[in-house]
This record gives sequence, C-alpha cells and structure tokens, in this order.
Amino acid sequence: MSFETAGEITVDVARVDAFGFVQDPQRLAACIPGCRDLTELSAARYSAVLTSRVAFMTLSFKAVVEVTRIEPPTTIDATVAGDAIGLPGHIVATARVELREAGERRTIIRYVADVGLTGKLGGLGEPVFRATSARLAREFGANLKKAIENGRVETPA
Amino acid sequence: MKSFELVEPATVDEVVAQLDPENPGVRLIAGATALLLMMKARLFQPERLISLRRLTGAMRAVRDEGRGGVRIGAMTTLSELERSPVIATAAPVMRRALRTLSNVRIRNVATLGGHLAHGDPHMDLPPILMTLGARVRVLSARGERWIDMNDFAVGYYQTALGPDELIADVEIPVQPPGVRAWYAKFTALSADDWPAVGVAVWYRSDGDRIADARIAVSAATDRPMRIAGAERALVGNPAGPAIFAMAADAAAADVEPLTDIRGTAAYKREMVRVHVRRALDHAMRQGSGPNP
Amino acid sequence: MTPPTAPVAPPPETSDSPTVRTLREVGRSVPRLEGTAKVDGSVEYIYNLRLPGMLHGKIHRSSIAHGRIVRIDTSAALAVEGVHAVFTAGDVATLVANPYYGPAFHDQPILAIDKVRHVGEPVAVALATDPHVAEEAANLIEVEYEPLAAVFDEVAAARPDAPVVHDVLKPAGTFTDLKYLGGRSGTNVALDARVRRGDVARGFAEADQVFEHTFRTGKVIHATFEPIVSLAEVTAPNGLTIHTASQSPSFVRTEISRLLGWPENRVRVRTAFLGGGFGAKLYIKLEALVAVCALLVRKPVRIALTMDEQFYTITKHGATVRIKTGVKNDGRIIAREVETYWNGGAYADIGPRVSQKSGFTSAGPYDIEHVALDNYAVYTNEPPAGALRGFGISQLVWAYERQMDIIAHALTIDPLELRRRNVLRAGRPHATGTIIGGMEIDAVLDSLAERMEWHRPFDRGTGTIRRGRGLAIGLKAAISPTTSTAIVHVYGDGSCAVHCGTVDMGQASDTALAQIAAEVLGIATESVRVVHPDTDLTPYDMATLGSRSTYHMGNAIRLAADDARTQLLRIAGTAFGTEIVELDCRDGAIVSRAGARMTFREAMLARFAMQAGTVVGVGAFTPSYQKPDPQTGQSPDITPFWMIGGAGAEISVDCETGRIEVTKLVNAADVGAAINPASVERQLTGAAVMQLGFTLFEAMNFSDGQVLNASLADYKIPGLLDLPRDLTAAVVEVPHEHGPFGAKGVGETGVFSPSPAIANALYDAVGVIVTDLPLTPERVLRAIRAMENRPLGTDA
Repeated sequence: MSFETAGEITVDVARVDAFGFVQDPQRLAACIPGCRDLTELSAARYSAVLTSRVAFMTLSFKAVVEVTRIEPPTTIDATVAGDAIGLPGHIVATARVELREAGERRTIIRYVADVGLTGKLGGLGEPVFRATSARLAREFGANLKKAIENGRVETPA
Repeated sequence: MKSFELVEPATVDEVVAQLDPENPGVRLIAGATALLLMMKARLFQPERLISLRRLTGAMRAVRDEGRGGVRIGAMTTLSELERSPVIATAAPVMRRALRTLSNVRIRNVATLGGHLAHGDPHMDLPPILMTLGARVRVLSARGERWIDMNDFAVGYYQTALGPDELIADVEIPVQPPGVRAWYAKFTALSADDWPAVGVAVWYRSDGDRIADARIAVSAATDRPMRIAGAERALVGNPAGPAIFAMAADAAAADVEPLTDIRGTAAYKREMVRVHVRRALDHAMRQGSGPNP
Repeated sequence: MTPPTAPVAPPPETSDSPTVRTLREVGRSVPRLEGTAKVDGSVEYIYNLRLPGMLHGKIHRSSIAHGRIVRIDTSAALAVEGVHAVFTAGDVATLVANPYYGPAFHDQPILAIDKVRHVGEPVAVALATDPHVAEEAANLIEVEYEPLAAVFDEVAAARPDAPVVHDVLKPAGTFTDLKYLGGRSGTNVALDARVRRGDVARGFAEADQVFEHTFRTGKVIHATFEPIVSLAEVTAPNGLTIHTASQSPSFVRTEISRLLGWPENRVRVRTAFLGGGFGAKLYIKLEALVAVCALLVRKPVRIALTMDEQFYTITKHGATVRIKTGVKNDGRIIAREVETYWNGGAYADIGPRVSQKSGFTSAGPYDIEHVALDNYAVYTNEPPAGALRGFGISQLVWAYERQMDIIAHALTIDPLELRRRNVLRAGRPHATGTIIGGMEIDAVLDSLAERMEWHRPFDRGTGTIRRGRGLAIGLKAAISPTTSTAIVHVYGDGSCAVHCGTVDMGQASDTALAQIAAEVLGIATESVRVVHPDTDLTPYDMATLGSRSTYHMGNAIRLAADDARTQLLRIAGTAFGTEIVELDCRDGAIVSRAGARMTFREAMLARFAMQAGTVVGVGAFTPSYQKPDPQTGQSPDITPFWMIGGAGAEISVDCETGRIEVTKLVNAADVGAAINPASVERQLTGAAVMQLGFTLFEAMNFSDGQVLNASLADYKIPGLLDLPRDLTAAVVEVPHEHGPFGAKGVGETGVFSPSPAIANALYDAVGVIVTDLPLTPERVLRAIRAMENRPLGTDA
C-alpha cells in the first residue's frame, strides 16, 4: 500500500537561509518525529532509525536515506528505504522539499512524501498509517518552523 | 511472538498497581479478541498483559438505574449485553446492533470495555453510545473521572483513556420521552464483516417538530464522530423524508472518509448519505416506543 | 453416447451386472463413516501431530516483489536463546544439488537462491523447540535486497518488454508438451496452448453480428481451515518419513526422491484427514523444506503456516479473458475466438496445466463451427497460483456465460433459449475434435429451467430495490491421462479394508469409495475400512484433484474388489463343488443359487485352515487418452468424462448501495450416477457457496505485490448469514458408460456457473455490464451510476 502525505509551512527567513537549513541532514533529521541515530554512510547517503508511535503500537525502521537531487535554493529530493525492526515489513518513500519565496524574508516550504509500506505493516497497519501520517506531517512542519526560525537568530546572516 | 508476562490481578487496585504509564508494552486485556490479531501480526509486542478476567461483580453486570438509566460494567461480554433484559427495554437499538456484531464466538468473549478501549473506529457500539449520551467512568491511582462518549475516541486506535487508567463502567442516561433511535450497519464484504459504514441516529420530537437530534458516523472515518451539520439540519423541522435527505446530504458533506479495502472515500461518503437517511427513516417508522 | 475409442482398462465385468442386480450400497445416502469422530474432534489431522524431540520451523519471507539478494545476516537470529539452527539456500545446497521443484517446471527453490520473485517468498528458516522462539528468530534475520523492476499484471507480463521473472524456463519433463519451452529465455510466457477448428476469420465474416469483450477475475485463495502443514523425520537406517496434509502423497514421494537423489522406497509419505484442500495442498508445498531441515538437524521438523502465510503460498489464477463471438441473427454461434492470460505468479506450480487443460474448453459447452482458442500461462511477481476447485474453469465460464446474456439481449432471444440453440449434443465434435458422449447438457438446462420456473413471469421490483434472475452453464473435461491403483484386503476374520491413495479432505471420499467396494463384495459400507494414504502401504494414485477420485479410484477399487470377490467365489466354489458363475457375494457371505452359504470368515478358514491369511485384490485404472496436436489442439480422445454444471440465481440489488443479495441459487449438474446422493448434493452446494464468496466479495487486494488483506479479518469468506435463503442442488443422473456404477466426478462442478448466473441476474435487474469479479457493492454501484450518467467520483 502507498499513500501521500504533505504539508506546508511559512517561515520568516530568507529562502537562501531556509535552504541552508534543510540541506543540512543533521538539522533536518532533528525535525523528523522519531528520527534518530543519523549516520553518514557516504556522500548524500545516510542511515537512520525511524520510530513511530501509532496509538499503542510502536514501529521502528532501520532505514537508508539517500539525497538524490539538490537544486539550490528550491528543491531537495530524497529516497528512504528500510526494514521494520522486529516484524516483517519494508518501507519505501520518496520525499521532496520545495522552497518558494513569499517576500524578502519569508519563505514557503512545501514537503511531500510518497510512502509505500509492505509486509504486515501494509495490511493491518494500512489505515492506521494513513490516518497517522497527517499528524506526523504536521509535527514535522511545526518542528521545522521552530528550528529554522530559532536558527535565524543564532546563525549570522 | 516474544515472551511476555501475563498477570491476572483480582482487584481494581491491583490492576492499577500493575499499570506502567511509561511503558507502551504494558496493556490491559479483557476478551483480547482484537488485540490478539495485532499481536499475531507483531504490530503490538507486549511486555506485560494485565488480564481483567478476574474482575467480576459490578465490573461484569448490567444494572438498571431506574427510569431506563443503565450502568454496564466494563467486563460485561457482548453476548451478556445482547441477552440482557435491561438492555432490551432501555436500549433496543443497542440490542439490535449486538446481534449483527461480528459473530457469536467473538461476542461470547469480547467485552464492552475492550470494545471501547481498543479504539478501532469500526466498532459498532461507540456511535450508538454517543447518540444515547453515554458516559464512561474510568479509574486510576488518581481516582475516578467521567469521559463523555463524544470525547472518548480521539483518533485511529486512540482514545482519551490515559495509560494509567481502566474503564470501570459505562452509564447510559435516562432517555427523554419520545426518543427514536436506530443504528444502520453497512458491510461491503461478508455479512459478519466489520462495517464499512456505521450510522447511529437519535432524535426527539416536541410536538410535530424535531427538538433534539444526534447523528454519529463510524467505520468510514478515523474515529466515530458526531455530525453537527446533519443534526442542525434536523432540529426545528418536522420529521420526514425531505428533511432526512437534507440531513443525509449534510452528513455526506461533513465526513472525511478513509479509503481502504472496504471502499474508496467517495463510495463511503455516498454510503454515509444513504445510511443516514435510511437510519432516520427506520427510526421514524420503527424506532419508537416508550424507550428507544 | 459411445466414445470413439474404448478405454485402455475397461470397467470390470462382474458376474452380476448392476443393471440386473439391485444396488444395495451404491446410490444410498450413507452417512459419513467418520462423521461422529469429526464432530467430537477425535479424527486425525496432521496439524495436531507432535513427534518426540520435534523442532518447529518458522520462515523468513521476502518483503519485496522482485530483487536480488545482496546479503543475508542470520547472526541476530542465531543469538536468540533457544534457537537450534537457521538455514538459507546455502545450507540446502549441501544436501540437494539442484534444489528446484515443481510439477510442471522445476522453477521453485526450496529457499530463495540469489533472487526473490514475490513478496512472501521463503528466504530462510529458523528452527527451535518453541515455535515462538523460532518465529522471533525468523523475524530477526536481516536480508538486504537490490530491488528489480517487477510486473504484476498478466497481460503486461506477456509483452516482450516486460521485466522477466525467470531468466531461463525450466520445464520439468513430466509433461512432454512443455519440453519445447526448455531453455527459453527473455519471456514470462510459461505455456502457449492453442486450439484451432474451422476458420474463425471466415466465421466472423459470415456472422450477422460480432461481440467482443474482455472479462477479468482477480486472485483469491483456498482459505483451508487446516493450514498447510508438514513434518519430516529421519528413520533408521536410511529413510525419511514425511507426515503432510497433502492431496498428492504419491507425487510428494516422487519429487522428494528426485530432489534427494534417493530411490522412492526410502521416502515414506503419509496423510490423514485434511481440513480442506481445494487444490492448495497439492504437489510440493512445505514437504521439501521440512525434509531438508530434518536431514540437516537429524531431528523431526514441523512447519505449519499461519493463515496470512497461506496468502503468499498458493492462490487461484487471476485471468484476463478476451472473447470475440460471431452469431447469426437466429442466435446460432458460428465463430468464437478466446484469448486467455493466466496470472500464474512467480512460480508455475500446476499453472501451465490449468491453462491448457481448462483453456481448451474456453469456447464453452457450445457447438461452434469456427473456433480459435489461445491460452498463455504467464509468470508475474505475485504469489504463485495453482489449482483451486475447478482448475481454471470458473474464470472461463465467467467470460463466456456473461457474454452469452449480452448476446441474448442484443438478439432479443431468451437466454435459456439461446443456450438451447447452441449446446453441444452427443455425437457432435467438441472444439478439440473429441466426439461428445457421456453427458447431457439439455438435461441440466431442463432441470435448471424447472427449478427456476423460468417460464413464469418474474417480478423485477421497483424503486431502489430491483430484482433479476440469470442462469449459466459450463463444462469441464476431466484431466487426463492419470492413473489410480487400489488394493482390497479381506482379512482372516472376513473384514475388509481398502488401501488407496485418495485423500479425504472433506469431500466424503472414504464413504463413497467404501460404498463401491461394499457393493462389489456384497457387504455393508459401514464395515469397510478405508486406509489413509501412506506410500509404504497404499499404491500409487496421481492425486486427489480435479474431481477425478470417484471415477478413477472408484474404477480401481471396483476392479480390486472384483479381484478379491473372484478369489472368494473360487474358495467357496471349491468347498461347494460349484462353478463360480453359480455364486454371488451377499450380506458378508458367498451364496449359491442352490442355497449354500459360506461367510467370508468361513471362506478364509477354508482357504488357510485357521483364522489367518489375507485375500488381496488389486486394481489399476488408467483411462484412454490421446494428446492433442500442438498446433491445432485437436485430439480424438481428450478426456475420460465431461462435467456439466449449471446455476440459476435470483437476486435483489440495492441500487443506492450496489449491494447484491442472492435470494435463490440452484446448482444443477450432470453427475453420471450418484454413488452417495446426499454427498453429491453437499459437494454441489458447498462448491456453490465457495464460488458465491468469489463472486460477491472475495479478492486479494495487492499493492506492489503485497497482499493488503492477508488475514481472515480482512479477507472475508461467506458465513451462514451470506447464504441464499433458497439454496439447492439439482442432481441430474445420466449414468456414464465407463464410470463406476455410472458415476462421474462432482467435486468441482458446483463452482462453474454461480458467478455468471449472478452477474446475469444483475444484468437482468438493472442492465449493467460488470466485467470484473468480484461484484462488490462499490463496483456495482459505480456501474449503475455510470449507466445513469451520474458517475460516482474518484475520491472525496
């Protein structure tokens, strides 16, 4: 099964600064709910553990993230592939982050992920994931906005 | 399946002591019919299961509170509810729904408390209890509190129940005179399948006009929910096909159905429309009597 | 009625022809011999078997549909406390040089080698004394894949540019007509079988009207309640015993022996009652894996599938059927072209046989001058498909009988009348050239018409609930050539046992076969014991499949019982000083016309001088067969018998929800003669209910090769509340010349026609054409709304 989840936030920083933030894997990963242990494997290739708490179920994936395209200052594409830990399941996702200027110091960030799940997750877990993905996308957006706008203060322009 | 601990405390206090709000691997079980499916699929891997099966007495009884009010212990099985004379008179809408709920083997072990706490939006009783104005009494080390059924479900498999709480009982209040109620269950696959759409309706007329209306939709959405737009469409109008159709359209416009193997969102939206109207028709034609 | 060629083994000539002697056991609705024991739970199922020192195996399965295996890491699994061993293809290779199995193609590895070809393919196995420990370990096995492009649709997979599932085709050699495919590469087409009769181009040119449609059926499963389960144990000095819930123990022995390079006499395969089979438990399923595991660990090993694993093990073919039919305005069909793509999944199993053996009947039970039939067995990256009750027939009947009503409507001819004008009758050639005999389609149609009260006006309802009725009829050719062998023992005390390889999986074969032996021996059915398949004890039988047992094994038992009977008559003849033509077996004794009587027990004493010894009767039966010409599919003798199954349905349709309620379902079948009428009715009705599920809601929902509803919580099968209020079987008896006491097979007949009968009733009720199964409420509502020009949207 696969589904799309998307969100959009507006941040009060210049696009170039926002882009500088989102193209830093460590800082971006810190905004992804349940993402930890990000390790660089090679250029543009990282491993990470993704954990999601869905109601009373806790699901973890050991994933490889690959940044497939960087087009400053507008677009970043990445793919995620991984296996569920402790149960048969596989996740494949493609993600895109797009930045649009909404003023001199204002940027609209739109993020879209197309997520495919197989194994047990794809069956019984499907409706739950579909329902939970929207919440995760909102949380990610909120984290991202906070981190970028806080970062603006700390990072000299 | 990993090894896990199974404990069977004899009292509510012991149950509460066994709960560990910090540990998501600790969970209560009653009939365990739903949770076992998730355990077999390894979607839930428990560390400790706290069985409530030794909690009986008031926890497993249907009590007539007088004038049609009912108190149902959380450990009452669905077949006990189905056969309860108290339910038969106080909430015939519930009894009818119980007869088509899954199958007799499940009903013999599944409990009302488990039915609610599991938080699966496909359950049949939550929308009915919402329209009957039911409340849930929950216990914890902090004491007891009441949760309105309308606030009980908060998301897919998510309820307002805290990780340190258990359901003690469910109270169905005295229903006002002249109430009509119906539950329409629509299955897209076999007859004993989960509903693709569940619709509970309840209204009370004052003179020739509807004075109060409650409509709840389940299964199609990520949680059972009241449809305020449809309720508003009814109030102040005489019961009848025209106003029922308007309420049905309002319900269809308001719901956000999920696509799954039982149907696309568009189809479920249409089924909400059809079944809100049909449930209201049924309620008007058959769902009357001294008690709904 | 007489087939052009006589069978190789003609039916036995007993001294009393059944037409002369009144039948006592055959034709009686004997209650199942094991009925009480089934109800009280005491019958044996392999699933319940536990062996001392046994290990449980749990399988780690592929999570992707197609990919190269880069790395398998078993270290975490081996670290789990209590794990005995973890095996991968490398371990299998230490025992089996060429570890690929399959009845048609040697294409399926015991554990995945280098590549995985479908989600759920076994990659590794973990063994432990505790099944939960084994399961935990299996889940901790880590496999890294390099994904490959996958193909799921059978039509797309047959195109030359499709991703290739198997680099090279590897036919098994068992079937000579598949040999030409050996070594072929770059294709997913595992069989291309054709039938040509007349000149279809000319037929279409001469037709007044031509109809062309594409029909589809999706994948469904057998849903046997006893899961697929096998145990293997090494036995001294050098043998292997496999206890398995199998419909084909003889095949298992042959195939395991071949894989191990052992003579067949070192492998013993036994079964018990099966908790359902329906084609799921044929050929090799878990047997090769448990055999290898047991040999590697030198301990008994048991593997039982969970319900969700069954969805990834064996399924029923989804099919795409393109059907083009040319008719004259008087309703005569003069040309038909059918092109069928069979979605065989990642491994062939028996798929190529399904494609060919059913495929040659895809023109339907009709007498058509110009016919061209093409069947493609296609590999895809879905789980393997094999036999499922009907061997592909219901997919074809769905297409040709659905189109029949569209033609009837266009020509304004009553659907029953249109069929009457076209059905095959005795003496006419089938599309394969075989002259029809031993079946009467008209009798089945008559029976349906009567039960459906077809001549009466029908109330089609008004408002949102509409009613409709429909009928359909299909035919199947029994699979040939196959052999059954049986042994009948009469013991020293005069009691009798039948040793045969037929597996009783719920079809009541033990009872029916005992009836045949009892009839010949003149004893009560209840006194006959049928010994369950054990390849050390029971002789070869091809398999319990394709409705073949009553006819093939029935004939073998009849021959074996007659052999034993003749020996008993000789003993008594010597004692009485009479010719054996003067003697008969009756009520457990040999009686003479002069009134002398000798019980079997007395006969055994007379022969062996003490209560000891055995009279052994042996029978083997192989019907005649001539394989079809590979270019034209023509054969003068394509099948030992034809099965005819018709269904009539009355339905109501909720036009606001699309939900169909089947209010009446009649299943009529030409069964030859019923050995056990009650069992025959149950077989027809049970099959029809199974097909009712496939018609109304059963479907495996796939996403990238992953089954979204791999559990009975989400894959629903019919329950009691889904049964039509009026559900009956009409048994049409047209005794078959070569069947045992006139009988033919009946296990599958009830599945042929319910789907198109119900869809034809839908067409009758609301006029919509639905081309794909199942007829879910949403699909039906969308069709109704599209017809009304107010289509339902695609999403919210």
